[in-house]
Amino acid sequence: MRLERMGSSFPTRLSFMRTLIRRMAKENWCFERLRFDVDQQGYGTSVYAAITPERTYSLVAFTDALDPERRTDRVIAEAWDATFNLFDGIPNEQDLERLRNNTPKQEAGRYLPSELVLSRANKSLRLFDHIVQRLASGHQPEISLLNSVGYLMRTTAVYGSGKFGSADRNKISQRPESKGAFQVEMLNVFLVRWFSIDLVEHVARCLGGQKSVQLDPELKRSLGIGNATGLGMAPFLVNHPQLVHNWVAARETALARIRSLKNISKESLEGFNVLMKKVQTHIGQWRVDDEEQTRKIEQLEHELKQLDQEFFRLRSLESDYLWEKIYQYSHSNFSLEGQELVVSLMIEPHGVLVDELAETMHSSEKMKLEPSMPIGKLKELIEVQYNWALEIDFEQSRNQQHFWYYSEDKLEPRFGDRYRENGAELEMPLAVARDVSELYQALKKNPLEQSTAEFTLSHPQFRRIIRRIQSLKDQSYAEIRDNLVGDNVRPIDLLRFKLAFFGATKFDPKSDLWTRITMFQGAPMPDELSTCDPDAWAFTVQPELNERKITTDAFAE
Amino acid sequence: MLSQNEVIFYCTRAAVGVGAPYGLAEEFAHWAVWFGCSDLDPAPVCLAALKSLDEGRSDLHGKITRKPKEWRLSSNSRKVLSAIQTGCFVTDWLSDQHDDDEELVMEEIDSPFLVAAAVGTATSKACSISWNNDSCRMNFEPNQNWELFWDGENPPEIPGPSTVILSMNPELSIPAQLYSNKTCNFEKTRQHSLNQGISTGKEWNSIMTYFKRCLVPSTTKSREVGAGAGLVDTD
Repeated sequence: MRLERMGSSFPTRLSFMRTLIRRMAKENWCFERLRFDVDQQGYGTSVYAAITPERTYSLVAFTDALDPERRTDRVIAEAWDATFNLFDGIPNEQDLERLRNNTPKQEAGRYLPSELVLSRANKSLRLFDHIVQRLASGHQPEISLLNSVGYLMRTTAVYGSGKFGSADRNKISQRPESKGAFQVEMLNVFLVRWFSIDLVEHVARCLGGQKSVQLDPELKRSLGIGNATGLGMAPFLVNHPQLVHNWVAARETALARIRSLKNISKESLEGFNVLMKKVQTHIGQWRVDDEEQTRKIEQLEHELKQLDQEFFRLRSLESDYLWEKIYQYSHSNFSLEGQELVVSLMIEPHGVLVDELAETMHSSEKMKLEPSMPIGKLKELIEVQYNWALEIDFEQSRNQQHFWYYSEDKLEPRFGDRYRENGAELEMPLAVARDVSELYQALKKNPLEQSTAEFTLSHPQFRRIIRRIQSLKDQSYAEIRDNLVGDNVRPIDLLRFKLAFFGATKFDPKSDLWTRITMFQGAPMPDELSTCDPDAWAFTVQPELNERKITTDAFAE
Repeated sequence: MLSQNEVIFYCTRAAVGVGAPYGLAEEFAHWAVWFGCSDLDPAPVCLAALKSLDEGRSDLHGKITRKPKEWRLSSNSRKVLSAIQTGCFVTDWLSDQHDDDEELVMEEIDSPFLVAAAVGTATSKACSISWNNDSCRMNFEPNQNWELFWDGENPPEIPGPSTVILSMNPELSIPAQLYSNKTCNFEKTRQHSLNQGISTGKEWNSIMTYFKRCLVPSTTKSREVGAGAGLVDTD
């Protein structure tokens, strides 16, 4: 796993949003708006419930007025348009009162194990206000504006796993619906999306009264939830290597199964063909300000045309192992983004073959030292599995240019320059390659028959990296095989990798440190889940810009 | 009340804040969680170990000597051995096979009850650990349930230094003077902590002081460019 390839990732049908939507449809989850105490401007308290076969989860939403000057996507923000909890069960009045006093404060509040997720979002003011005005006057919004933004609200943090007193992962990790990675966090975002659309319609109705209309169902579906993602995701990937291995192994297993198919069914060929056309439109609608990403998108558009031709050629030859040939073709001819997109496309029509792999994308394993291993064997392990790390010369200052740290400013994760900023001695332990390199030098100075336990007794500073090397020796996708403190590292590559596994699309890099994305864009709304194809929203395409029917149905009171 | 994840996050960095390497600090943090999962306050014992290290009374470097049926762990210097290092070695020792009559003797350990927590976190075997001249003893069952005995005078959590003895023979008879006891159905108390959180006493504030040593002071520059997004984001 190299950073450049990680930074070229695309979602697949194994991504976590896709898995959640499939489960909700398959298990006939029900959804209810339990409370909507919101004033004419949209401020108040709401509760939205997702009812699974076993239990109920509730999104508790608080909306408040926000001074534009306090509107920031950063961790250091102190106020938001909307704040949320995903509650385990249905909250009673006492719960709501308690949350009302804490949730709007986010990190400064305290929570209980009844809360599974804490999150917040800010409105896209230009789109929210536009849609309010248009619906209030009996019209649908301008589709060009809707497409250019893609969401009504943008989450700026989604905290799970025991943050600020909320429920630990262990509380829910054995439940079928939350066993998979980030499923409650994804559910939280899915419900925020529903809430955001309800909210805009409510404010429009308050403004326009009988004249107002509801948002067209197709337009609703085209709205996702935005997300601003920063540096917090990077430490997660380094600190959960076994989980990352399982994610990548599932995807690679899916790919291997497909590449080994000799005879290809007509259904999967047709599915791929239809999807390929859809993806061309999807990529054509992916527009960003970032110059480098724009260049990559243009390259992708060109490669998709080539793929179309090659697919047509191979299909007409009725070739055996067609997927393997497509895969090889893309690897020989396409950019990294092109190669990764082809993998996603190949996996997509093969749900029957691969969907069960989603059940393997979690991990409860812990890293453990092998104390009896002779350090000579440890040294060999490094030479074989971490040769990429040994190739980096850490004597050169540029290879240690950066450091990652927690700021005292709301514990915001930050990325600094070791030679120009203070605090490098407090860096997070993310420099795996450097740690391996230092360990290797120390091992060479000690008797190779010495046990790991004895070595760590006299060299406690190496316990962490040894535990890591020994624990991951059979997990080939666990390590990011690059130097995360070097001068050329781009944190955004790590973010995109993780966000693609979430199922995010249309990455919109704002710098090397953060990106905006959209989640659940094109996904069915809760009331559509029982009747829709839960996988039809892959590589969603925006509504057409041509004339649309304007819905004039007044709100039913 | 704290979540397990918070205890891990803060205790790891508190240990780093007093000079422990991350590898030891992370394991130490899991012992703190073990206290919480056992319906015990993690703060007093953890703070004692952190304080001893911070004040330079303890050493993180150890050495091992072996005799038939006895392993002996001691400090590499004149200082007492930190329980943070000792607990890690205990974890390693327990992961190997040992005969019932084998013992691990740990000399002059700064916070003995923390070593018991390391045993509780690591073991899935029956074993027994004692300290303070056998005035405190703890027996573990393979299902992680435990029973603690003490003499009623010396509370088990008082700091050392003390020699700690780990034996793989939990059938040792309990001396008559150890008349106080406490038992724990670990799975039950663990579930309770997941549903209610982990309670900590006043010592937790001092642990947080050590934790804050790991945070980098914010500067105007780092606030502006050290992380993504702007200081005001509208769209």
